Amino acid sequence: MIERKTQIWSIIVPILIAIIISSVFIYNTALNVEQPFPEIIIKNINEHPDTLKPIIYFGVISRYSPNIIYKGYQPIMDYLTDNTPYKFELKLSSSYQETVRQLVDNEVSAAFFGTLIYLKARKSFNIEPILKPLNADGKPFFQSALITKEDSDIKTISDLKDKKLALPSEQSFSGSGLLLYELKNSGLGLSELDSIHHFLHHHTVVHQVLMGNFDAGVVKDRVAKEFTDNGIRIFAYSTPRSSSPIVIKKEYDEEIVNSIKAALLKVDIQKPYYKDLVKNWDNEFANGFVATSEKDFDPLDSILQANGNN
Amino acid sequence: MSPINVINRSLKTQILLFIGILITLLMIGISFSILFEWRALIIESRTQSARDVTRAFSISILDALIYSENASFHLEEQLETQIADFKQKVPDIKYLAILDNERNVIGHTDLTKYTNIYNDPKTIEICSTDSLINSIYNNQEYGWIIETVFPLQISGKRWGILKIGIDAEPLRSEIRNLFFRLFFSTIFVIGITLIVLYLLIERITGSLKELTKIMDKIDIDSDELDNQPKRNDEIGFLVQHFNVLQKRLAQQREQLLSAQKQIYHAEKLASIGRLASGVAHEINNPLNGIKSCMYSISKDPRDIAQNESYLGLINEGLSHIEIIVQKLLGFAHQQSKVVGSVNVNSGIEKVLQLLDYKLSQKKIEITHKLDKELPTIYADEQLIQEVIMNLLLNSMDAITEEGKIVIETGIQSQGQIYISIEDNGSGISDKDLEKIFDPFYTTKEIGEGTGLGLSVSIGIVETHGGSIQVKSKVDTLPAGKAGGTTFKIILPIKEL
Repeated sequence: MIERKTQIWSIIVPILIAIIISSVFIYNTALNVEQPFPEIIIKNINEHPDTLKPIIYFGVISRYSPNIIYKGYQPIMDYLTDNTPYKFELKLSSSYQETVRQLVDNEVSAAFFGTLIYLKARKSFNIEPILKPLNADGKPFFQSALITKEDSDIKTISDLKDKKLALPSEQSFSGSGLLLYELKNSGLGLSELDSIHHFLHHHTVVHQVLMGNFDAGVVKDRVAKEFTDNGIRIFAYSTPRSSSPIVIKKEYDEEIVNSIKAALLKVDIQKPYYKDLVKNWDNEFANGFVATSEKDFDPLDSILQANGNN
Repeated sequence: MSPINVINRSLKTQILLFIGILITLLMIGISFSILFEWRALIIESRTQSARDVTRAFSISILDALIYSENASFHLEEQLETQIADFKQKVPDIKYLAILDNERNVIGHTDLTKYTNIYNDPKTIEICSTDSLINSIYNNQEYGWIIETVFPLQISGKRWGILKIGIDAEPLRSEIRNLFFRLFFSTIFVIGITLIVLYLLIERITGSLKELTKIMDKIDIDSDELDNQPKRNDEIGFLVQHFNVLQKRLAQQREQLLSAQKQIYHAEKLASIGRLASGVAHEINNPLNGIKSCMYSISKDPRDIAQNESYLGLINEGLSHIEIIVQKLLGFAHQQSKVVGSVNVNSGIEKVLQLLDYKLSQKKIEITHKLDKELPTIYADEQLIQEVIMNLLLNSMDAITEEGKIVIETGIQSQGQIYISIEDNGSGISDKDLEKIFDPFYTTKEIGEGTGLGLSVSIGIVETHGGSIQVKSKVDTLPAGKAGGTTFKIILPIKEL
């Protein structure tokens, strides 16, 4: 019996040893969690064609916060780089006037302007608009939207009496020109409002209204539409006005200007390639561009003058 | 004995080993596949978490880099504050580095690494990534880390990369815990399974062992395994069939006994036939006396005194005949096995009386060496006498004339007696010696023997729990008397 038990153990023991050894092996394998980085094909940046191109800086008025500007405008710069002999880079500014200065001082070759700042700047500087964006209807106009919280009692402009109103920069059309014109048309004087406050960016206006710090606000229609499903209701639109232009310094390098114009005018969102391309662009420019000139903005000048904006 | 032989010898060991090994291997296989599946999920989860942390932090870093384009913004100060805050909020972070496009350190958890430039091939390679990538490795400085690299860029605008090393020890610890949980669970399950298997096999083989014990102790006269508990499983089925087998054995046994009885009777009749001349002589002598007396009486019926004398002689002759006939009837009487106390010496004397005439006819000298202290044995007297008769007849047949037969009884060993019948006849050759107990085997002429005598005798003796030993020497000399055979019957004293 003892011999038999010994013999059985002589079978079991090697099996147990095999199990223990394999367990130790698997334990070590399981704990070795090493994973290398995926293989990356190193691009020699210095040899990339774009790096050999001359850099052209593009200015943007500070209508939005810098990260929103980069997200919406950098893809346009990439497109221009790919479709012109130049490498385009954004140059941000901390104010509308700074962008004007950058353009005038040749720090930037072209700039995205607001309508009002352009109208004001052209009086002092030798600048001209070359392109302006199309809206969803294919027209070169934009509207400012009057917004309030979704559950607010404000239904019309006249309901703004004794209300606090948030506005974007005074240098923007939404922040100044529109207000005077539209309020006057609705028979509401500025003095009848409780208060008015200007903020640097359009998005800040929306957030102030959402937080209840202000009863209503005025922003670009493209910004207002971003929030219509998120607690914001548009209760009035301004009369359509000429959309915000891309401005250059007069008599600037014609080749550069033509390259910019040619590349952007080529964008046809009816074509699938461009439709896909503009998905990452700022909504204001997602419908393409049309060529423009100083004359297109003259009617707005008279409205501003009539309302005391100089 | 080799291990393989050990396995082959025990059904229990075979089942336990093979099923045990099979279950063990299966459980180990399942456990390890679970381990590696879960391990992959844990790694994926931790890696995803590291990637999410990196993405979340990159937003604020990217904002800082964008805002830094404004001249009034102090990037280094901002980065340092954000890194310190983030490191405090996510303690698993081992290090965090922000490199610009030239791989200069512009932010780091380790302030001594500011202004360092990473120009090693690995950093150059990973810095050129367009998307979030990660790796897990054992870093010489920080130990096991999950390292993520995220390009700080918006579309085509790139400011640099964000590199975060997150402690991977919790990941390894989780895998370690998982391994041990699975390991001990597997051992537990295997242990329980083997115990259950062992008990199950023990129950099955226990029933078989029980059945074997019952078979060993079985009373062949019994019809059924009455003591076996009724069961509905395969063992019960086996017991049922064993009962059927036992009944069939009993039937066969009855048939065998019946056949044996017939053989015994036939052999007995054959023995009686062989005794016939002797018996006839025994009867004939008194008959001649009676006849002479009857003749004398008929010649002078009036001599009363003579008649009375002759009638006495006639009565004596008839009594002698009656005794002879009674002995013959007693031997020939066929009856069932009747066991009781038997005096072996007395049985020998009775058989010798029947053979007296034949012995004297052949001038065979009988020598008695009967142990007077021989105890009675527990046996069937008729059958024992039949055995003695068969062996004596064989001895007489082996002696041509003037032979000698020695009959001896005595104690063989404790609990056993012996009856030895030794003759100095022709002897039995070695070749024949192997077959003398086979039924119908005879060396005698046709009609002189049935070939059943020794076969029946060994059957009777073995039924009584005894044995027959035989040794013989063949007579090779012309004058004879040099050979001889000795049969030794060994019988137990008590009933088996």
